[in-house]
Amino acid sequence: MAWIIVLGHAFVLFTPYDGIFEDLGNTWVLLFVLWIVLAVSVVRDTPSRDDLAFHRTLPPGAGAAFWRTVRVPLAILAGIGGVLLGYTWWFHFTAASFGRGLALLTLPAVGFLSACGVAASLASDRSVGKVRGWLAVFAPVAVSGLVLWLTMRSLPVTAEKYSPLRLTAVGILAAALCYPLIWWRVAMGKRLLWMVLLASVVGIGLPWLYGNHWPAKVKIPPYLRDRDFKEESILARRPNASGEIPGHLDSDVMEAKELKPGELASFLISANQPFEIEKMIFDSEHLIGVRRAGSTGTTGRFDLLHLQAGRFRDGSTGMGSDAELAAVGGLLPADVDLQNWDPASEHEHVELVPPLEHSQASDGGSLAVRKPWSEIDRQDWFALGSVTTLPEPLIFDLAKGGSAPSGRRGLIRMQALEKEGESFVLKVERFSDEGWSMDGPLDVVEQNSPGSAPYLVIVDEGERKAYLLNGTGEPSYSRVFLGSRQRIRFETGPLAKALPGSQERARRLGRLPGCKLYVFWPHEIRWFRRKMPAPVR
Amino acid sequence: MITIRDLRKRFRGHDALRGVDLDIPQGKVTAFLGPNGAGKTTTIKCAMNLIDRDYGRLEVMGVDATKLGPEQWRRIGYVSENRQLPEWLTVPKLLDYVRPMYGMYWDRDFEKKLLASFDLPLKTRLSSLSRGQKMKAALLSSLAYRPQLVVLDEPFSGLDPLVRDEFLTGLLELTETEGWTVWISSHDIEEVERFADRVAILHDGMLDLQEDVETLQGRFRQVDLWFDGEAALPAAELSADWLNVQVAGRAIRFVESYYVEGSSLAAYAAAFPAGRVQEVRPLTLREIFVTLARSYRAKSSQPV
Repeated sequence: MAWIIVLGHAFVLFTPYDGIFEDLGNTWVLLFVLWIVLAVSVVRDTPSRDDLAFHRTLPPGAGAAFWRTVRVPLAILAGIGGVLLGYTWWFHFTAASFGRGLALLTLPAVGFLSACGVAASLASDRSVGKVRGWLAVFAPVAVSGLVLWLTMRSLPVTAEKYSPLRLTAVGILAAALCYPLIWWRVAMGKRLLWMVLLASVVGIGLPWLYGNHWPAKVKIPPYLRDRDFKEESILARRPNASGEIPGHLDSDVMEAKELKPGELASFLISANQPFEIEKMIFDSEHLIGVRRAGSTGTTGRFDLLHLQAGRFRDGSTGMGSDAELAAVGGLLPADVDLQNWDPASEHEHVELVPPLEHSQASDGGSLAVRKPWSEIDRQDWFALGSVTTLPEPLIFDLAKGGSAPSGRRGLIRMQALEKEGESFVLKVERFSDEGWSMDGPLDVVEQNSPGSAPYLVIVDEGERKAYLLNGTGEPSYSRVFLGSRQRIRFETGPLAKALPGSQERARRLGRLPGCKLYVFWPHEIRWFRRKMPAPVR
Repeated sequence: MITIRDLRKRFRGHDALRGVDLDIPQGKVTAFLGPNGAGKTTTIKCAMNLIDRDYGRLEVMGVDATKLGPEQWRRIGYVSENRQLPEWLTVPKLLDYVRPMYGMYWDRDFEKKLLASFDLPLKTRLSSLSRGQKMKAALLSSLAYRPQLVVLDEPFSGLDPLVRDEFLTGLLELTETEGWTVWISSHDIEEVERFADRVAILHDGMLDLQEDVETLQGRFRQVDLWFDGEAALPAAELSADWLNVQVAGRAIRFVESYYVEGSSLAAYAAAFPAGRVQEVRPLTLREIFVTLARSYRAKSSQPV
């Protein structure tokens, strides 16, 4: 049983299966069933209150017997800690993440297992009996929880939010501290009645220990949770530009200011809406902003265009793909000629796509109506984004793939280049524990924040050429324990359409297996917000 | 060695012990007798701190029973009929397991001697041993360190006569040679009368008597009276010390519980002027116990 628990944790943490957390669903309950069985099993071997137990009249006494009882559970917890240590080491997560993970995995187990240990120990006393032993510990929790639930259900404000099985960080900590102590005293036969009373008091109090759900589910990415962005003058209209932002956005109209050399600002342009809308949803149907040409704005994905502005190391500034090329190129070997993989992306046309009129947003309870296009004031427009820098790149052999630590924390892994039909497929993923907090994991939505997408550059060292991969799209997110996994996928297929001649295409594709991949994953410095002149419709 | 005063214990509304006062003197074999359900095992378990007492003072080797620690346990050997042995072990493994716990108290030579005399299978797990063999194994693991106090709770229960005899013989030898303090409980006096120095009889949660065997046997007599005509009980109330009075034809028989040479005979003559003493003989311990057990039953069947 001990091995099952430890290896089960290892399987869940290390399995590459993407949907494991979702598919596990409520099967975590099985883990608690295992803990119950384990508690009964270890107590049965050395029942502290059984008057027929062999160990009761042996010299080592109750203390040694209690140690025999708990050594297997302690070994299990140590095993889980070891698995977690391996996991955080492997993915280059921080010590703080290890600490959070250890608390998340072990504290509930300690509390629950100890409670079961108290119950099993009491049940081993023939004068108490099995039923009374277990009821003495768990009946107060159940009854108290039921009373609380019935009370809270009667209050309209909390009825929707309260669940009878509520775990709070305070409650878990209280259980993890109190029940082991009670178990120890019960096993030692000291002040039995007082310990039973204490267990009842703890049990009654547990459901009432108020706090946030733990682990919490935060559905809103940090950059939207936090509304207090610093208003910065990162972007401005050029002095010689006239009127509002036209249908296309380029460096003739805007310039980057207050950026340090090497900094890159990634942002989107959007319009303010009623706060209720922004709080409730994060769906492009209800956002008004600058989109890529051809976008209808009615899909479920957030497709407001991410724009870039940068200040290069020589002090000059640039917008759009120019800014990206300059930022990336500055970190490549000097004699390498950098260009876009897809030549067509260099002249991307950006235009404003109007949103739906009078659309509504609902979170299942409240309803809010978005401002119609005609009522949006010019003062409602803003640019929202992040300032990043590009670190030194991680370099991989395309043919072999590999993994490497991503800066101070996290891991970047590249799978070996794969051929799918006429196309090659590149897959890069990043594991990061950023964004986690003591409230628990982020329930990361599949949406990217401006500036978080990596830059991938294929470098042909033989020809001294480098190609910035456009069209990788935004990374897809999935949850991993203590962090997130971002995945980038790039197919070389569209190159066939972009390049007029098949010779160049064939040449590039043929040389790919011998090339290297430079991965630049931006390091976020800060978020900013800037009022913008309204675009012309 | 063990002092018990006003011991009380209640189980779910039933008073199992109702103020027991008992002494287990050092260096003697004390037989703790009583019918089933009298409270013998409860008393012993309280003394061994296996169950909590509700009230009373209980000292074992000068220490309160609830504070018995390693030092005391190394000098106490406890064997009980229902005690759960680690049944996945063989006898040698069991000894290997407990031996380190007793340190210098453990006598390897004595262990080997007991092992030889008990003749136990060494490669069979305890779970596969017979009841008698398990008791021997328990006894072996509890005697090899030469405890000063040996507590045996119904050790012969369920054993066949041959095994029982082996046990008793072995125990008798050990108590005579080692001078241990032995506290043995049983509901059958035959098992213990061979080597008991002292007897304590428990009845319905209270101690009816505790006395040295010699003194006990000295005051109990079987009295047979013979009458020329039909025997009849006198109208006056008989002495409370005359137990189990029976009338059968021309004879009256009873057990004198406080016989005194001379004065007792005079008392018989005064109570039964028409009768004459045919026989006054000592009783075995078993006969004394049976007499007392019958008298308890007679008392409990009388209307209040």
